[in-house]
Amino acid sequence: MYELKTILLAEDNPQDVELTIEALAEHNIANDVVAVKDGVEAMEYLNCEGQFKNRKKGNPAVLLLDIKMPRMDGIEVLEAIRKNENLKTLPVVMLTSSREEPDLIKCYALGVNAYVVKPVDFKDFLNAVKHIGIFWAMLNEQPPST
Amino acid sequence: MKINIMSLIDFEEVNKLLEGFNQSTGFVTAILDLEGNVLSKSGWRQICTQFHRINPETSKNCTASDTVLANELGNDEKYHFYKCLNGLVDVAVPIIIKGEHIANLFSGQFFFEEPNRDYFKKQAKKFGFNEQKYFAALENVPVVSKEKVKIAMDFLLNMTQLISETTYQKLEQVELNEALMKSEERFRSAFDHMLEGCQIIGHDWRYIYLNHSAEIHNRRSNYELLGTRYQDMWPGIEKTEIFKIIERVLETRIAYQLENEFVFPDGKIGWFDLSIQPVPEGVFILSTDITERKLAEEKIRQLNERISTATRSSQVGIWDWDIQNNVLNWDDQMYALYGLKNEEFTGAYEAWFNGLHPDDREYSQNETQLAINGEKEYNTEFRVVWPDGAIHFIKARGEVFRNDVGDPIRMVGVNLDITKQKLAEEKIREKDMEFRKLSANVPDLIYQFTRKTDGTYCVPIASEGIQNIFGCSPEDVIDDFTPIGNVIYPEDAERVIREIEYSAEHLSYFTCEFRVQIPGREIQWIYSKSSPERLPDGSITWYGFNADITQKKQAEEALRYSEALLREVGRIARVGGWEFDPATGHSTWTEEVALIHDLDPKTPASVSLSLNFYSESSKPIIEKAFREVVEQAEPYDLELEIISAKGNHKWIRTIGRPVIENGKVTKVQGSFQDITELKLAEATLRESEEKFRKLIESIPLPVTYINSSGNISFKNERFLQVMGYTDDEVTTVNEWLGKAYPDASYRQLVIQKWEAAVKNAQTTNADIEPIEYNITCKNGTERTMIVSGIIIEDNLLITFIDVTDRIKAENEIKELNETLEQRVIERTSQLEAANKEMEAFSYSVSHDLRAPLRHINGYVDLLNAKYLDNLPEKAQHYLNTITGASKQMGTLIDDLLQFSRTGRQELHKTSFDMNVLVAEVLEKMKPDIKNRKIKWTVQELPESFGDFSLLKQGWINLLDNAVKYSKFKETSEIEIGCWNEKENFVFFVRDNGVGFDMKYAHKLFGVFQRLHSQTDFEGTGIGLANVQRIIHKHNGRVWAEAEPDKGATFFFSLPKKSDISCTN
Repeated sequence: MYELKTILLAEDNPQDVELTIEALAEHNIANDVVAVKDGVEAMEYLNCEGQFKNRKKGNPAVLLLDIKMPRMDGIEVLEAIRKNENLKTLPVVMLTSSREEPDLIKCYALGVNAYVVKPVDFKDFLNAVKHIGIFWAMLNEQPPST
Repeated sequence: MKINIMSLIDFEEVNKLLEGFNQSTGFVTAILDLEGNVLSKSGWRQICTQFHRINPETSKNCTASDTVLANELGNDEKYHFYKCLNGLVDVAVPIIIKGEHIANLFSGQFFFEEPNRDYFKKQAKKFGFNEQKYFAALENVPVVSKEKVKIAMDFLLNMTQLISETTYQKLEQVELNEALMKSEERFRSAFDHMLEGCQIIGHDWRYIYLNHSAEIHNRRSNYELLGTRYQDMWPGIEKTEIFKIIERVLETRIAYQLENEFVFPDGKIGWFDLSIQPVPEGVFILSTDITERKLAEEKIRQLNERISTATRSSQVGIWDWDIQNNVLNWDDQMYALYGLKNEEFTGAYEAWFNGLHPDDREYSQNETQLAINGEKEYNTEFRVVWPDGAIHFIKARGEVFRNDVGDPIRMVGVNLDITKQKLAEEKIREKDMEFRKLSANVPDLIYQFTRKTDGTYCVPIASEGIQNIFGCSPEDVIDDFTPIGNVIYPEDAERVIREIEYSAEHLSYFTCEFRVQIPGREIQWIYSKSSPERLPDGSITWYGFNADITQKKQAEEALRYSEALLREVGRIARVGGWEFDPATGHSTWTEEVALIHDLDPKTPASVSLSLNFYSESSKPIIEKAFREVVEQAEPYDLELEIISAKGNHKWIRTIGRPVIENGKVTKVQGSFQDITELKLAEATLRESEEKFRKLIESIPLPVTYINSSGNISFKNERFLQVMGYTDDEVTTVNEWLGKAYPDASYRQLVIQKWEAAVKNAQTTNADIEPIEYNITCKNGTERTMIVSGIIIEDNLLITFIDVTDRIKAENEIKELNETLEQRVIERTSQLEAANKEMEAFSYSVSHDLRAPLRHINGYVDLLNAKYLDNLPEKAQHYLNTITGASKQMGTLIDDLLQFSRTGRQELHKTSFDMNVLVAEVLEKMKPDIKNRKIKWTVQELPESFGDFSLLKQGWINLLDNAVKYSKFKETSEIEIGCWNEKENFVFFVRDNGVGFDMKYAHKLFGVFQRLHSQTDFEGTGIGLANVQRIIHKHNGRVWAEAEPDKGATFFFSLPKKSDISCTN
């Protein structure tokens, strides 16, 4: 069995983090989930900097990225990723509270891989997370490592 | 065998033959067998029958003679003559059948020389015969020459042969049968293919046999004919000759030959050469079709008949000229034609030539030569001069005969005297000329008009006048009606033809008036009259004339027109005329006078009657005036009042004028006119003037009226008030100008402007254009006034509008406006800022409000999922409540977001089919309403213009509401419709739901406004606000009509597509 890759979750709200992890666990998606509180931390993780200086090398299977975060928001993170030679192939899924037309346009313009609005209903949320997890972390062939 | 043969001989037939022979030749005959038995006999002599064969002794002689003597016949002997034992000469001929001598044929009982009377005397004595009787019988015995006997015996030999053959045939019958059959077949086959028709008809008249040709001759097939009776095949044939002939042949067995004309049932005639022969089966008919030959013969016969009739009746002479020998042969008729006697004619070509009229000789010579040369058929006419000097016209025809090398040898032909025709023709020509001369000077058309048997028309005779009437020449129409038909006025053509046909049918006079349009000429009216005559050939000929009656018609028309005009004028002007004869007291008037009195137009005139209609005040005046005109010849012209027969008060003008002869009034003439309206008009005018004045006075503007001489003839009160002058301070324009414009140069400018304006108005026939002037009032203040006016004939009506105050106000407004714009700009930017803020706010709301909500839901679900069993019932209830509340919150947020987005979103307008949009909405709603009973009524919706997705949202909200608020009905009824207004389409959604009270209608479209409880109808109170926002963005309008429990109707209008597209 090959090694399951990490799912990186950038989300400033702890409840959302918990519920997302619960949802992934509920569906037996066994990949490691690393949660970061904002865009700055997300970039540090991806670039193996700061607190993540010593983490195991390699990009996560997918980055689940909230838009509204302190310091550096999701769109800024996405922009940085796509500009970075090492990261630009990383699958990024926006996981956000509302469907705002301008956000949607911006994200797709920056080359986001998916854009998912978190459903208010928890069952729907479970379902959504399940689909994201299964698709991006398990089914999707990873881009070749660089 | 012998007996057999004897029995085969038909002695009855033989007897008949022998008897016939005896009767025609006087020879007696008999057939006796070899024993001497008489088998057949005829015409035996008395001497034999009454004497020799009676007496036993002589009878023995007879027998001996008949047998012994007869049988002494030598084998090579043809005839055996011998003297019988009783002294007569006999002759015997053996009958040999199949080589067997079976009998003898006897003749005899005659003498070759005068009998020896002594011998017979002895005989009589010897045998006791009555001598006298015996000698009488002897006298009857003929004395014939041996030669004659031989000739007779030749015949008898043949007869013997016949008998032999007959017998033979009968004997061989059986043996021959087979051969016969074969032979018959051969014959039949031969018959079958014969060109002649062969048919056999049996004794019972049935067809037994027909060959192919017979079938053709009968025009019937074997199938039809065989077994059918002749008379059944050809009904009615019994009465014909042919039937009788066949019948006769059947009976007499004697053949018959004839030519027969046979009429077939289809009416066709066939000619046949028929040979009818008896055959054992019946009759055999051999038929040859000679129809064609017969027809040809008939033709020839008719032709011959015609020729002979023709020559007989027309006195045709026949001539035959031997060209080479120059011999001209004439028949008798020829001499008659040339008035010559036989001996007066030399019989040479020159003799004929000299008989010709000198003027015709050269021509006739030439004609003959041309014929001989073969260049022309000989068919000519010439005159001959009889010896008595009479001139006759001859028509000649002839044919040239040539020998093998083509040289002319003979010329044969006929002459015919055509003098009568020629003279008749000449006469006709003369008559025709006379007619032409006679009629040439008549402008009318005199004609003979013919309707030919084929129904076409022509005009064989027409006078020169036809040029005037139909624009063509007499020659054009001799055999052609077209030149006339073409010019008859199309509208009249059918009527003319109808009249002609009527005249033709009834042989009645043809009279007709119709129009003719000859190209390049005015329309003419033509009168035509003629009488018809039916000719023997069925054609009809009219003799008559046509005349141009255009002028008459025009005069009639003009008269009719002027009469009508006069009547019309009288009626319009309401003028009548009258006349009075003082001597008789008799008076007349026109209908109009009666009409003015409201009397029946036919009422007879009466002065006294008329006077009675005058009103109380007018009556004495008219009575006096009328008396004076009659008695003193004093004319009058009065305007008076009458009260009409219907009680109407009328003003009339009555004029009376005396007609004086010899100093005496002989007549009074006058007119009588209804002038009520005129009077009324006068009064109206006066009233109108008064009204105008009052009107002008009432206008709150200064108004003056200036006449052409520059006087101010009228100033209204307002003018005097505003300007401050009294009526007599400004009486002329100049006076006014000096006072109103004290500054000379400004005054000059004013006059210049004013005069230009007036001139412009005059030339353009328009009003005087308003121009602002500064007018100085009496109190010295200067006021700005707009002066304008209208030109009424040469006068001017001038109005002054004081705009001093308005201009002041305008200036103030102008200042205000300038500051206002600045303020608007400021406010707008403030609003824009607020809008931005609002957007940012709603953005955060959308994001941040949803998060906690999601969390509440998430944890409640986790609780439910993981610890439900550990929770008390109450706690479960609380959890449910939390779930419900958060869901409601979620919906609220979504709706608010939608609402806020609608406010911000830009419109993307397109043209689209509203039916498609609504169908999409209904499709989308389907899952949510699958448990509902809803009766949808969706009208046809128009092509619309707007933002498809926004309008879709609007429809969703409206239809959701309709579904929601009708949910308590067993069957919801929702109607979607539209109507067309000038600039908008108005759409509506009608439901039969709970409706609402119209007094809350104003709250309907406010955000968070709800008219029903959350318990009854879940909702956020944002849907309709959103609808309003969407429709307002489209510059439309939204409203509703409802009643509690009676359903609600929501309307919205949507502007149609226009070139000026409006966005928010």
